[in-house]
Amino acid sequence: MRLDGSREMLDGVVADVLTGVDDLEDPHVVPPAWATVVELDWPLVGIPEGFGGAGGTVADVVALTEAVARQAASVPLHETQLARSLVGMAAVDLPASAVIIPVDGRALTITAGDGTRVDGEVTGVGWASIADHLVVGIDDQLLWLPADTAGVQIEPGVDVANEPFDTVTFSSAQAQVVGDRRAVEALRNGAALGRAAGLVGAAQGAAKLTIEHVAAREQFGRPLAKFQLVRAGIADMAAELELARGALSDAVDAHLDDRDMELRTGVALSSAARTATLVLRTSHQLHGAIGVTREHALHRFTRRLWAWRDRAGSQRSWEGRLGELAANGGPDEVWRWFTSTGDGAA
Amino acid sequence: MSQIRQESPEQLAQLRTQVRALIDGWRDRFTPRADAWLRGYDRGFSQALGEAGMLGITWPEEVGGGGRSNRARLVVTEELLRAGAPVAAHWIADRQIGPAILREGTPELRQEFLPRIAAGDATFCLCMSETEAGSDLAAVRTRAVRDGDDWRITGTKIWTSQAHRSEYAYVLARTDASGPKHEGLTEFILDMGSDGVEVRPIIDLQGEHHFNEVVFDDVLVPGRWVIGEVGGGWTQVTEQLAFERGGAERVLSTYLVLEELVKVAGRDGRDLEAVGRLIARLLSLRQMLWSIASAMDAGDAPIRQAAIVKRLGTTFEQELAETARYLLGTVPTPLATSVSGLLGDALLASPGFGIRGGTTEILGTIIAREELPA
Repeated sequence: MRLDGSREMLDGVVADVLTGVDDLEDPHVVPPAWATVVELDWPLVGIPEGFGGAGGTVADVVALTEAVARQAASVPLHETQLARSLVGMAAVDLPASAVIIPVDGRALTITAGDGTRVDGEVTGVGWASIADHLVVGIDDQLLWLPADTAGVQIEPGVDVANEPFDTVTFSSAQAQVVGDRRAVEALRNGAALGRAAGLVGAAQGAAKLTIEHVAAREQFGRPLAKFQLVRAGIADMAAELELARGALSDAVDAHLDDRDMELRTGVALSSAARTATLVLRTSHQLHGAIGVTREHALHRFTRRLWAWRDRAGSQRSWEGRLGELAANGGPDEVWRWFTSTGDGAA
Repeated sequence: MSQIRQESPEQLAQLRTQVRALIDGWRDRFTPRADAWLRGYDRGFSQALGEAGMLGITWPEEVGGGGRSNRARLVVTEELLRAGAPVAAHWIADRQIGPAILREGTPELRQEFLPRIAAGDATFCLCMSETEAGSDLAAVRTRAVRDGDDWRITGTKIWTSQAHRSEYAYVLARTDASGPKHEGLTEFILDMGSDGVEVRPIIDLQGEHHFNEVVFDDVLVPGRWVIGEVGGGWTQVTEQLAFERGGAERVLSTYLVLEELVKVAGRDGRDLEAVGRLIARLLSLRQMLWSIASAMDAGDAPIRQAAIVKRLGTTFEQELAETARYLLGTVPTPLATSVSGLLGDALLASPGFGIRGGTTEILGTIIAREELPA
């Protein structure tokens, strides 16, 4: 499905569907809104129709992920879209309602022999506790297994956004190989791209609330928006957000064209995480005391920003990887990156 | 200029190859340095660029331009900046004075100046700021009064880079002092060889001479050298500044230092996160530069984006020099062909980045106004 229409229209639809799901009463049961999300075919967006998907591209996936985050909604949508797209390519047909969760299995080991078996523990897996299926990238193999497979144990946890943040233990758990090294890379890059989109969306949400607050709140007989130092904070957020959105759109182009994907994903993640850091600090500072209450909506965005910066590979690990790519490539390669940034959008 | 200019990736790649070849032919004649678009001056190099069709590249061919896109101009300028090539002789005229003449000038004025700027033959300095009109540019007091069909200009301009080497000046002057300060301003071209022009050097903190104070004492300016509307100067100059802001020189003034960092990282494998962080910033800024050039090619005036790219770009240039100092643990030395010399050059130039072309604070004001309209 192509997501037509403006950002405002998309926000309207997402707001209608996801109202009230920002704070999960119990983070370890399927969110009530999931049924509606499934009815709308959103988990199938970005997957070709020939592979059981709803069509559309990674651009539509990112637009939807950003919009969901702008509503501060909690649903395992991007995770499921990504994992489903990868198993779908292997012609594995899973029910449309399934929650499918990607797992970065760098810390896991594979034993071949009696089928393919997985051992080890991964901490900090988002949404594993409500997963129907897991898709695990280990070295050069992408594996798929139902979450209730013998030997899979999921210990529920939460992050500061009160979203599932679970530990998954594999003890000789049997899995099916559904992809190669490229699929594992697609899993990692896709997860980070989704994370960058979520960060940008949530940061936009926090910035919007802040603009509304400083325009309405009066001190010293005038709105906060009349004070230059307050306006400087608003300008900082707007500028950083513009930059992060640009980096995100460049990464989307890279994913569409299948070029420099790791590089462009890393740039988008670094930019989004950096923007998130600035928006966190500034939006809370400009909200004053009201912003630190549970009652005010700001925390719906800022708790997600705190939780998300390091969720799909840490910001530091991505920046380290960018540095490694630059060190290996040398100045001419860095210049090639520079001069080819953005031109996908022309 | 609302026509959308088509430019294929192949055409742009070919242009990039041409610029690089031209630069390579000159490498033994210049020392690469930070901030070369303001400090590296070689008229011969500018003329060679003009000869090769690299100046006025976006202007129509009938005025000596290249008839190409703003993306083509980005290709040319970023290659020149990467090389640290001596481009100061033509930079201001190519970037903003030529375009102002093209937008606002009469057909005669365009014919008189644009072909010569595009050839690298006519050099310009920018006489905008005054002692009491820095960020508050509309406060300029330099007066222009009518003298028959011509004008007489009297006043003092400051921070005029390369005035001592320029044949012409762009001058923002007051032609009517009776109304609000934003009204009654007019843009002129002035011959720097005229009677009554005095150029006094101002040495910058590096000990270099590029700044000047320029005094005009009843300088005669022909009536045909008014750019655009008499009294319409404020609107015109605001637009000119928007164009000035959104280019690659706001990101790449200290780029040579980044290349050194990348080489060191390749050798030592240290500090990769810090290098990666700079790379991410750099590439994000290029996305904006490209997006601004594309918007201009589509006939838009991306004023907000240009303000953002200058504010973030110049901050990045400063961050880059400071990060290099910290990571390399190098004591900066005066300009020399070494890492410490490049670093010293970059650090000593860096205070100017957030001032010229609209201070970081003024840009913040512009950006905030977009978010919080009055």
